[in-house]
This record gives sequence, structure tokens and C-alpha cells, in this order.
Amino acid sequence: MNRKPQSPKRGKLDLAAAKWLIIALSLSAIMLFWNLFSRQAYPDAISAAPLITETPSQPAPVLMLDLPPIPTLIPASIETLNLDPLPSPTPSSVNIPQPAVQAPAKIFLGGSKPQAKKSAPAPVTKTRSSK
Amino acid sequence: MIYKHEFRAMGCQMLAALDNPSPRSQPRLAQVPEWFEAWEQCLSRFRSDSELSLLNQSAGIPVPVSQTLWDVLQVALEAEERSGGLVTPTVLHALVQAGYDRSFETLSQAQIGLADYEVAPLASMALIKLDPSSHSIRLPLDVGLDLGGVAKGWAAQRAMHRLRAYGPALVDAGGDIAISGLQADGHPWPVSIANPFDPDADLGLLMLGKCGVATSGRDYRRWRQNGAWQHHIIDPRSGKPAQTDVVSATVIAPTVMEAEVAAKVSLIIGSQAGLSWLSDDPSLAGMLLLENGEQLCTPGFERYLWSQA
Repeated sequence: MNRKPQSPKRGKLDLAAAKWLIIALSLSAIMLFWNLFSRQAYPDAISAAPLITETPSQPAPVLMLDLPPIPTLIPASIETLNLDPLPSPTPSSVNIPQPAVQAPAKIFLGGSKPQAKKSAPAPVTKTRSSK
Repeated sequence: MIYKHEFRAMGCQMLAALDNPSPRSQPRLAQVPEWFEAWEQCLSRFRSDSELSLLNQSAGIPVPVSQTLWDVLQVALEAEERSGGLVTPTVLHALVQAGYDRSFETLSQAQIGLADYEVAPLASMALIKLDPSSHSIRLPLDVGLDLGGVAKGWAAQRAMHRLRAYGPALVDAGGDIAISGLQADGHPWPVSIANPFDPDADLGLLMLGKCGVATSGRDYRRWRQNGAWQHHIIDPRSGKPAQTDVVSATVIAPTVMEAEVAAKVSLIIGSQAGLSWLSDDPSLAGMLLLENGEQLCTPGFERYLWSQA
């Protein structure tokens, strides 16, 4: 019985299909795990976190960018964020008691206070031509 | 705790100080004026009945003297030797001729006398006959003794010796100061240097342990004689008040007698020679104040001066 030998073209097609299959499976696995991890890392952020982060009062040493959160497979409620500006603070007539603040005690490194300039001791007596 | 007792004696302001917290030290201090009174009665030329006055009135004949007068004359003899004859007690007649013929407290500022007078160089103590076996002294006929500065230095040293048994002691006899050692807490005694040009601004503050310090000056004991200023420090070479550019000399020495002699020498011989003379003796440290206000110090003087460091 003679078997018809496979043509070289057919072998090349099979190999390419296998490669695409592996790539597709790998991508699917990556997407799957990505989705899984992002759910665990940000359980609340997905539904509640605002897109704009509050800028700290002090200038930050790094540039702040309004980047969206790490992309996930669950865009969820991002579209429902309230982007109204925060109400500006107004002066209040209520006096809020402030805690008394004392000047911090001086701490002298090295274990000893710096010596103040000594004042001259009072003389017990005086040498002079005899009086 | 430093107890102090101030009083007047020998025509000067005196002070005795004792560093002892016990109240029992105070009665001891109260005795110091009595000691000085006894010494003054022996050594003063201004008291006609003093032992020294009786000796001066008995020139030419041997006079037995007390242990006190004998001891002070020994100190005067040493002072003359140490000073090369510049500090001698044989200045009595020169002082009287210069107008200092009574205690300074009663000396008139309008003293009548001759400003320009002739005197011979003073006699040396070598001409005085001292007999140790009988403690007798015979003065040459034309010699009289004035123990002034030597007596004050000796008295300060003697009083300090008596007090030091009760604690660290300081005795100031009219500016000649004897110190027994550091204070009880280990600190030196602060002693200021009077400024003849400004009583309110001292020339410096000395920090002293066991030593003597004395100041000789022509700023206070001076008087006018026919319009010319005279002072009490006689230059034996001329027999007259020393002509010098030094207004006052302060010297620190092992004993107050040595300090007194050195201060007087450096004043008599003037600033340049005086500073050199002081510097030649490493046991001495001194400061000379000149007429122009300049202060000259020996190399070792600064270490006694108080500083903030």
C-alpha cells in the first residue's frame, strides 16, 4: 500500500496554525489572569474611585498626571463619577479653639550644652599703689 | 564661703579674707586688725613712740630690737641685695626732704619746702651694724630708716601665714597682697588691677593661686612741693623721687615681699630697663603702665589674666 506522501506546503500550514493557536491561548490566559488580579487588588476602586486624584497642598516633587486606573476588563462605574468641583472654603464665624503650642525644647546633639560666654568673677580685692 | 574683714592700718586700707564656711573663722579674722596694730606700733616712722622711731632717734648707738623689727630688717636687707641697692629702707631723710615728713593722711597738699634741693645718694644698709647674738642694731649717724613698703609686704605675708591654718587665705595690705593658695573650691582668687587714670575701669583681672602681688605707683602718694609734684618712691642713686616714665608697676611673684621689691625696681629704672629686669627672672610676671597709657607686660603675665575662654 502506497501512502501518499504529505506535501511540504501542507506541513508548513499546520505549523503556522499551531503557532497561532499557542499565541491565542497565551493571550487568553494573560487576559484571564489580568482580570483576576485586578479585581483582587482594587475591590472598591472600580466602583468608587474618582478619576482625578486630589492634589496635595505642598508641591509634589513629581509630576502628577490624571491617568486612568490600570485598565481592567471591568470598566464598571467609571462613567458615573461626579466631577463637580469641590465647594470653596468660606470663612467661618465659629472660633475653633487652637491647642496651645510651646516652643520646642532645644536639643543639643553631642550630649552637652554649648557653653555660654562666662562673665568675669567679681574681684575679691584690688592691687594698687598703697592707699 | 569667703569671709572678709576690712580695716585701716599703716595709713592704708587693709583686707583679710578667709575661705572657710565655719563661723568660727570669723573671730580669727577679727583678730587681724590687732596684729596690724601691734606691727604698726613697732614699724611705723610716723609714731614717735614706735620701736622704729626710737631706733632712728638713737643713731650711732646699738639698740636691742624686738623679733618683729629684727625680722623686717632682715627682709629689707634681702630686698636691697635682690634689687642691687635700688630698694633700701635708708630713705627716711630723702623722704623728709622731699616733703613726706608726716603720715600721708595729714600731709598738706600745699606743702612748703624746696622743690629743687641737693641730696646725696643714699647710704647702703651695709653700713648698718646688725648683731644677731643680741638682736641689736646700730645706725650710722646720718641714716634713718623707713620700712614703708617692706613692712606692709611683710605684714601681709605674716597675717596670711597665721590665717591659712583655717583655710585658704588672702591678705591685702594697701595693695600688696599675699595669697596662701587656691580657694577651697579649687578656683583662683580674682584680683583686679587698679587703673590710676580711671578709678572706674580696672586695667585687668588677675586669677591667682599661691603667690604675692604688689603694685608700686606714683599716682596716689604724691604731693606738691613749691609747685613741683613729688612722690614717695625714692631713687637711691639720686636721693630724690624717681624720674620715670612708669606710672605704676604691678608684679606677681612667689611672695608678696618679692613682688613689692620687683614692682618698685621696675618703676625706679623706667619701662625699658624695668621690663627687661622683670623678664630676666622667670619667677616674676609684671605689667607696667606708662604715662601715655600704654601697658607693657612680661611674656608670662598674660597667663594670669582672666579671659572668657
